Amino acid sequence: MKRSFEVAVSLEIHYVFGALLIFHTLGNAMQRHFVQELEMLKTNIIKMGSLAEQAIAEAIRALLERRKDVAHQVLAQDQQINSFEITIDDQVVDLLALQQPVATDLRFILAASKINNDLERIGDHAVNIAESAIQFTDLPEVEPVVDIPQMAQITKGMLRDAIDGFIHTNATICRAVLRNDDIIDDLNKKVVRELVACMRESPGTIEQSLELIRVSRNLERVADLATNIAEEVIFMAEARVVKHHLGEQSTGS
Amino acid sequence: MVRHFEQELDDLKTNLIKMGSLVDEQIDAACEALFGAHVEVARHVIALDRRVDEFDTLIDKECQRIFALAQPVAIDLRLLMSALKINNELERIGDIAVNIAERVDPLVPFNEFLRTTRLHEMASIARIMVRDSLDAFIHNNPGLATRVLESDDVVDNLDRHIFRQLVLEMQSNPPNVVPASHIMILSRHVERLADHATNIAEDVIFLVDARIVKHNAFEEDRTV
Repeated sequence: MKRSFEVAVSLEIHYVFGALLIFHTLGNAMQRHFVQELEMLKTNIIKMGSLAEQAIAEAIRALLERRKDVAHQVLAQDQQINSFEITIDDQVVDLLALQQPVATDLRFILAASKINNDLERIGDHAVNIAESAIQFTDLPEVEPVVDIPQMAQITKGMLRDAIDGFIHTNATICRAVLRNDDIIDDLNKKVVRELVACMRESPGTIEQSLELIRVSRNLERVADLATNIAEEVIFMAEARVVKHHLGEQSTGS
Repeated sequence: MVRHFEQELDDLKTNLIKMGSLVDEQIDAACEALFGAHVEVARHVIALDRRVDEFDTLIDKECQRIFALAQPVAIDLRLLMSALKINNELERIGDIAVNIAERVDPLVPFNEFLRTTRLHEMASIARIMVRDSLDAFIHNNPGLATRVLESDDVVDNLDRHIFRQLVLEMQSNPPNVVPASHIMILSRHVERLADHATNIAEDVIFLVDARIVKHNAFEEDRTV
């Protein structure tokens, strides 16, 4: 009798430990799963960011080297950026719905959702530039493409830094992005001014100049979007809103 | 707790509606300033932007709070995600109204020339699109949202038409290069207004039908 009581107790202890062990493992698994999903979200943003950056670089190359084939590649690859957007959107909804994250993770996921949106738009601007490159190549060659290569260089750097800032939660890099945006705004205004003057003097170059203005304005929008990303990161890192406290917003021209 | 949550969602929606009508007022005033050559009205549009930005910050915070406290699921989660996106779109629409207002002053001497283009017609359609997309959101009306998507093509075509007309104008009459460049850029701004309305409409359809219209049914167009 006594013996069977001991067996029962020891069995009970086994069950309790067993159950605890299962719960513990489950909890860990869920935690692991969550961490994995967050990592995947990060990885996808990195991939999409580099696709967008590459699309801008290639579109500008198509323009400068008069390569219609390169421009057409940019047009074709936009599909890939668009599918990333849908994938990341789904990931964000899953993470929010299933994991119910709080505090830091929540801020990170919401920032990822906005950055996703911004990157998709950057892809659209790359498409616009590639389309301009095609038109531009069809027109008689004109001399300088003014400050567009420099603008493209700075803009690509801004985009890369903003994404890096997001991945490493680094607000310092992102502040530099915000400062560069002013440089791009000034360059854009200068480019437009020069090209408008050029159109007045030589009506034969109007169509080329208009394509270049379009490219310049698209780059300016990309810089704005990179700035949006940087602002998101600073918000995420410091849990406050920078967006509307920087003085005025860029207006473009 | 449930009651509280519903209340928060209601407040959120109310704020989005308020922000929507503020932005609507901004576009209206920007168009009035542009086509009527009223510089003071343009300044009013620029001044309104502060309030739009305040709404943007407020709504973002509200969404975050609801996410953090109420841990919504399924339909509420989708509503919240849409609210965040629509907030973003509205803020950008406000920025475009400011961009339009900023070109009122340089175009005052060229008002007659401006009226020879179809920009006014294009702006009217874009304004209706913005208004309809907001109504579609408020009343959960995917039918109205679908109509917004259809109008986007009309606006894109007008944009191209205006562009071609202005190129000819520039080529035949070099003194018109400056006003024509301004009007081209304005035409792009209006085209982007329509794009943002389209984005809102897509969100409404997504919210109601939970399917992704984006990148499928409607091809994106060439824009600046």
